[in-house]
Amino acid sequence: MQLPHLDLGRIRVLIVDDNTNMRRILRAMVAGFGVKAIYEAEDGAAALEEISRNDPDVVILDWLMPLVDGNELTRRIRASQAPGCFVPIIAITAHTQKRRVIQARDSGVTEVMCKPVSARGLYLRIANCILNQRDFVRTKGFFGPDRRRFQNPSFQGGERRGRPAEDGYTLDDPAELPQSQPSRATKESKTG
Amino acid sequence: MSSDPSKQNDGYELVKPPRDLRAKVRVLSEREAARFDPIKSAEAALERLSQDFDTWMADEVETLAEAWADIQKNGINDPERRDTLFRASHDIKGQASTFGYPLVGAVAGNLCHLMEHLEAEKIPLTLVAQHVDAIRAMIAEIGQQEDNATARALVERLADVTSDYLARHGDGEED
Repeated sequence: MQLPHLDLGRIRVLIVDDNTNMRRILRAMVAGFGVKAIYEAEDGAAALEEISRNDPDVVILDWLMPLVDGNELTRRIRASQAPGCFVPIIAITAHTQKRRVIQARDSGVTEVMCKPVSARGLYLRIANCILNQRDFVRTKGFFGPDRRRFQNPSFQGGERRGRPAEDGYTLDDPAELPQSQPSRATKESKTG
Repeated sequence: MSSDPSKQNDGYELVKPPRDLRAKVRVLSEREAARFDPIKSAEAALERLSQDFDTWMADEVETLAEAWADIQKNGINDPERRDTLFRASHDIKGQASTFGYPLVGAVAGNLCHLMEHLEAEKIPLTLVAQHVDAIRAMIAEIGQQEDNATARALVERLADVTSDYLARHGDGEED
């Protein structure tokens, strides 16, 4: 699949991971993509400070961290009243179980990525967060990106948003996304 | 930020994020894209880092060994100690392939699997020790070799023993 080559020079990225080596790897990749403003935090409290101070456009966070883990941090980010509550969150995890991925989704993450992290996989998710930015859904018990990545005008079924998640959830396949819905940026670039 | 009034029913509200991130990026022209491929650029950056991977892997294994030594000395009942060992193993599981040690990652993943599905008192310390020893031995003896028959047999054996043990004592939860 051909991914759009983006100029990410104006995008700000926050990397949250308690493991120094993993932060180095992620920083090297993100810098390789062309991102200039990269911030780091080694725990949840520092991450919330960085979000408040530097207003990142994308947050990449490790799911398993001491004290405040990725799940709790995502919930805190989404629960805040600041504009930072809308920031796209890419959760990185060495857990590969489906129930973990669903837990991440239900806490309000935008994308989930299983380790080992590849440059292609990470770029795809960052590009997807930017080019296919989703509306947010607010219900009694949830605030986060709309789980429906695309609108289907011919959909005839009942409305399920605002109701508890069902077990028969089908995981999104991020690999399908950028091609499925050409972005406005892509179109503008081609015509302009 | 704006919300869609037509969707403010049925128990949910759709809210548009206030910042349009697409306005902050530009698709590179064909000419620019020919000179800069973000994925290849990131892979090249990783390649430059890779000279440090052996040291980093050794650091991670040292962290695991320290966590295990602490448990050997003080027991496994303290949740914080267990968590430290689990996270050390989990870090190795997540990073070993990137560092070029996939077999080490498999053993670490197996150790995570073992710890995750057992109550503290049922965690077999001998089997944990065998995992930690296997990881250390692999780093010391075979490095990044993926096709070492002895190491592969060890990985399989640990997985089999773990699977058998969990079948008898585990929480029964599927991964």
